[in-house]
Amino acid sequence: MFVVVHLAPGDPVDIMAGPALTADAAAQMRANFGLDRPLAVQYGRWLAAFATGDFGYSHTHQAPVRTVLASLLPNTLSLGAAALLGSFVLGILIGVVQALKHRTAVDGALSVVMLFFYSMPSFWLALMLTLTFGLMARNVWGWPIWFPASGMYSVDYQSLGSAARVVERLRYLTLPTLTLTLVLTAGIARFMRGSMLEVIGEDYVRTARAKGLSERRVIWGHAFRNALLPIATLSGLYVPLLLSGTVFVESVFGWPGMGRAMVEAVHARDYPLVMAGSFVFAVMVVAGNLLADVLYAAIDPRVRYD
Amino acid sequence: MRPSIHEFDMTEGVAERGTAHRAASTLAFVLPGLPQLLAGRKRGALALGAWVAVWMVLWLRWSAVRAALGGGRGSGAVTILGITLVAVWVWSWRARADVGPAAQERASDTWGGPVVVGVGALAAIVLAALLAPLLTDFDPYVGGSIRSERLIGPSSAHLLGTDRLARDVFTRILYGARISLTIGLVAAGLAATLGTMAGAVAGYVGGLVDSVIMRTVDIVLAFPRLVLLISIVAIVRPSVPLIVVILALTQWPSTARLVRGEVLSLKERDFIVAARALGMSRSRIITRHLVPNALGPVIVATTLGVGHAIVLEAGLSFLGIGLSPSIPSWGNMVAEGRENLLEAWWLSTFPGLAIVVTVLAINLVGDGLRDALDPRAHAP
Repeated sequence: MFVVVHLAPGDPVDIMAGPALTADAAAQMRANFGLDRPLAVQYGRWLAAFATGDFGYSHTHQAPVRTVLASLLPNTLSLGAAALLGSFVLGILIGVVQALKHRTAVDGALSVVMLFFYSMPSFWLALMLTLTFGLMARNVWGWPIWFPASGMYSVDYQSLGSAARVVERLRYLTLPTLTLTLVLTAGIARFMRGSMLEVIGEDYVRTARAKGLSERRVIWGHAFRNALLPIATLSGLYVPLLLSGTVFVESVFGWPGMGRAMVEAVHARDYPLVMAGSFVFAVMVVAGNLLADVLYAAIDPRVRYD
Repeated sequence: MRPSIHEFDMTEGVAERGTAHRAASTLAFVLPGLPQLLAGRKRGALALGAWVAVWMVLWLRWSAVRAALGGGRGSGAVTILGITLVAVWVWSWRARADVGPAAQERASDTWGGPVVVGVGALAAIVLAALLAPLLTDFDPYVGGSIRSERLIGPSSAHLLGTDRLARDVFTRILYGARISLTIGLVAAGLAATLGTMAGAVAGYVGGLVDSVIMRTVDIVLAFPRLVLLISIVAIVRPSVPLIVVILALTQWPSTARLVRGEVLSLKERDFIVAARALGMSRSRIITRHLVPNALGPVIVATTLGVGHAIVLEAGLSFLGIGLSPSIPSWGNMVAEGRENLLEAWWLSTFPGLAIVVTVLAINLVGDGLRDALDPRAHAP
């Protein structure tokens, strides 16, 4: 991957310097950055630095990549966590409703709606939500409630009181979270529906019914809790989807997170940032998989890893 | 499933079948698809729809068709129009006998309603893309007068409005369908081929080969696909063929994993053991016995993969790191419209809607195929 990145035409010096730079000065800059060394040497240095946690220097942000990522990561994580929470709550609810109304018009209609959102590119949904609840609601229709279309907080954020600050943060968080939530919910709802239907057919649910428990206790006390087991592992496996989603959503809403920074880094040929960014994303995916395995073992007593 | 009266009363069934058959033959000639539809075969609706669509084009857009016949733009589209017409006719004629209750039962088992809707929508989109020059008078690249025809809302002259270079949005969506669909289909096909071969070899040969292939798969799958794509396009500004290759390269690992699992379980089955005992070569066992039997899930995954590829291409183009903005792909159009989002809402809305409808149709077909082909994934 490193080699391929460096085979690309143009290098950071071209972009940092602009056409006014003399050839001599450009050569000097290349020498300073070690860009004139053979590729193998560059790779060795890079690998050694990478292993020690030194991701290099981002020339677009004028700061070490590590500092840049450290400042962006919390923003991505807060958006991701909000969306994950929202989509799981919504998805589980819808899945349960569908399972209970199995093979009725409600089930069918919800399936169609979910498939509709599932088929939707997140960047388009983000744009449409911006258009309706951000721009049109405020400027054209004059609705009393509208949501800011871009950024994390407004310019006068610092002058607000603490309560107003929280409200402000939530308002800015609403549309990005809503976008991600709607896109992710479909898969969870489908999974929950299947899981719930499977559990409802189990013997212990029949036993619970036979005992004379109220339908509510059978569903929520017995069936629901068991149907949740496989869903818990899904949360870890959803990390890649979530991260891909944040890239688009951050770009549309101007959310200062890692995804948007990576896209901008691609435009600016800021290789260290691209490489480190994808590395961090990969780590998060692996961590998600691990989390899924651990959760599964922790929740389900039948699963034991030796 | 449904007990039918015809099954019990043999004599009446035969007599009725005679007249029904004659009527169906006539109908099949005039309105292909209708007799099959009336008999409960849902795919008759597709034939009928295609038939009506073709005649609508001929009737409403006769001037364009005549111009194309006279050697103007769109002669290829006219050929496709003709092929569609003949194909629908031939199918209907050959299936004219399929109107009995038995055929009805057979048909209702394989093709559910959502699948027919999905296939129909997909066929309509593909047909619209192929017939683009006949369906519109405008050019996708050259706009009208910038001063008077720029950013006009949807109207009778411009169905879906015009963009900031006064180009007709509807026209651009039609031509964009060619690009987006081609990318989706070729990328998914390529990934399926590559993934199936790699997965089958890894599963059957095992050992070091298996380790090498599957570790590669693991590495690729460790990255979120979009992130991987972003780091690749950081290096190369993709052209259409290149983005197809890139999409295929990031998609094949999941197919490979799927096929390997399938092959591992097939490998121990008697018919493979028998094939080996007969002295068949490895490559023959893999291509003739393993791959065909593992194909069901692959077909489902590939169908859904077409949708993923379309969305990903659109996404990359939207982020400005995909296809060059001069190419009217759907993603590029959504991105362009973003600059005039408030004054011209139609610019981003309609191309995006085209993506949604296409992907929705693909997902409907994929789900239907899953129910039909993948015995383990039966929805309760």
